[in-house]
Amino acid sequence: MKNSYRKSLKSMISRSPAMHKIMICQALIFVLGLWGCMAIYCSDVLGKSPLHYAGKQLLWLTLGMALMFIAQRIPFGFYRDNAYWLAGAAYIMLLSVLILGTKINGMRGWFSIGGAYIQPSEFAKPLFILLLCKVGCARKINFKSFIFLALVAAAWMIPIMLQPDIGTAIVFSLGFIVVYWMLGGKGWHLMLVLLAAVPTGAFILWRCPYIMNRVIGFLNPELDPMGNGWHVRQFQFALARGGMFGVKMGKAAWANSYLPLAHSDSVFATIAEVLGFAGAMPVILLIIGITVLVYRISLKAGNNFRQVYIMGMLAVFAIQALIHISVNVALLPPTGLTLPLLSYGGSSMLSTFIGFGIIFSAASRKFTENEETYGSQKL
Amino acid sequence: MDDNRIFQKRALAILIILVLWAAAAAGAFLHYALLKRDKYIRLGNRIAFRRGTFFLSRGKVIDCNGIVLAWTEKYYDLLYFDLSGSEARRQKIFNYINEIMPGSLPEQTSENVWLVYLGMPPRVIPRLVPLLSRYHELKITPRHERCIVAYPEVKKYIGQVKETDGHLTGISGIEKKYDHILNGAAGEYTVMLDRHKNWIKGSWKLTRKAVPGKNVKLKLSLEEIRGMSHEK
Repeated sequence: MKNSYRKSLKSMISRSPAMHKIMICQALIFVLGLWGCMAIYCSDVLGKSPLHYAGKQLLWLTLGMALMFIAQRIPFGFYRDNAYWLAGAAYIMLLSVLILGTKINGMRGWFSIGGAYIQPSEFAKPLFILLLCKVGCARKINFKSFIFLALVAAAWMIPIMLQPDIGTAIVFSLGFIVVYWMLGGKGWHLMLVLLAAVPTGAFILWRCPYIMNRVIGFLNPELDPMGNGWHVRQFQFALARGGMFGVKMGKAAWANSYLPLAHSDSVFATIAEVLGFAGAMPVILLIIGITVLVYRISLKAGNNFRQVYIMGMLAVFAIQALIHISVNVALLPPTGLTLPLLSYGGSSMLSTFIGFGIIFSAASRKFTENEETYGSQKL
Repeated sequence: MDDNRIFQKRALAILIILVLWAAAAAGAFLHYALLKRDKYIRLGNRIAFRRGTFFLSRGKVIDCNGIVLAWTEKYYDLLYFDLSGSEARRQKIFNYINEIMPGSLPEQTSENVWLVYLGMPPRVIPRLVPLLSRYHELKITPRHERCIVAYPEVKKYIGQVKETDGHLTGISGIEKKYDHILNGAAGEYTVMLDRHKNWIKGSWKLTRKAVPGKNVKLKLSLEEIRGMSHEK
């Protein structure tokens, strides 16, 4: 029995050299998800029902794992050939949430369906990258195609900024930069993006005074510790309280009362308070571990479309995670971005798993070999 | 250079940027969690921890026959601090309170403060807790009232007290003369507050025990005190 299990595992791994890396990656992703459930429990441990959010998150984690395996089993050719349809559906959702969406914390970014909240901008991430890869790979990379890709990216970012969800819009824009760069785009084209970001940033700061206040509060939290500097201050205090080994689980007072949205926007600071440096550093190491593994997977992915998709999607995951961590360690001003796989939220969890499922589908050698004949294959 | 080589070089560049970014975040984390920990703990405690004093019940004044002439009663008042200035919100909260304590007639005592219920029965307080945690405008404040037997001449002899921050101090008569005995010694505590200045459950710590006020037994009887006044 034991031998036959070993044999089947060996044959599965030998089918693709990337398979063992994919399996390690899946294990790391699952561990991060469990870490998140624990952090969410700690963030509400002094409340009336501490298991409420943690229990739901565990459900999302299980469902997410299942979705990841399903997305991985679907041949990458399917995603490639239906990229426009899939991205079109996601884009319609992004537009319709502006009219039909529910406003939460001042942001109209959720559909409320039977008590459940669905955030289309989260599900749009893997499809936005897929669309950029499809458009980019179909053209010769030059200034004309750069402008076209930039317009496509801008068309996706505008509805997100109108919600307004500036943090997610920043992730989309950085995703665009990475995809264009990986497609072989010229450096000076990307310098134009950075130049365009200056007046755009100035306009956003002018139109949204709360963002300006966050920046001022970040630069000098002592100036207004009870107002603009409040969030930055609380992150600093939570990290300091956690120290090396953290406070006891039931004594995470900062996570339970001072940190803003401790189970989502401040989940890293919550882990830092409860488990200390020793318990939160592995989160950073796991994220970097996944990044390195997926990077190595991308090198063996076969063709340019697959490679660029893997790197683009990886960049979106890693950039969002690092922005969240940087905000929580007071290295960047508050953005409201969640930590993928760890922060509470079904949409974020499921979309991240779907994204990884498509990455693993792109990396799977079995489908790479069959790609030429995909059109005649039955799905 | 072929496409794959360009891809490999650029992917490596992205990876290096991400790893360096993670290292910078880890550095900042280390700074707050270990290197400058004491400074930020001190600053945090200044916001979150409050030190306070409290007195146990003030002693009674008793005549030589053991009749209690003066004693303290504790009441709880419900106050509403108008933080938002919204009349609709205020009315909504008052309606909720009326469902729990029918017949409450809120009365404006100053520009932003409303006395919602004077002297609440202690049994209704647990029912108000969910409302208090949801609406931070509501506060329950304890109030001590010094009661004296209903003879004007005895009231005059016993004297008056003044309430400051929930603590009674004798300002005339026997109350003033024996204030140090009736008062007892103040206790001290620390407590952690949340952002809305509510106490965090389980964070209250006693740092110094309070000594309750002692009773003062007079050499005179109630009748003698009354008679003293008549003789005058």
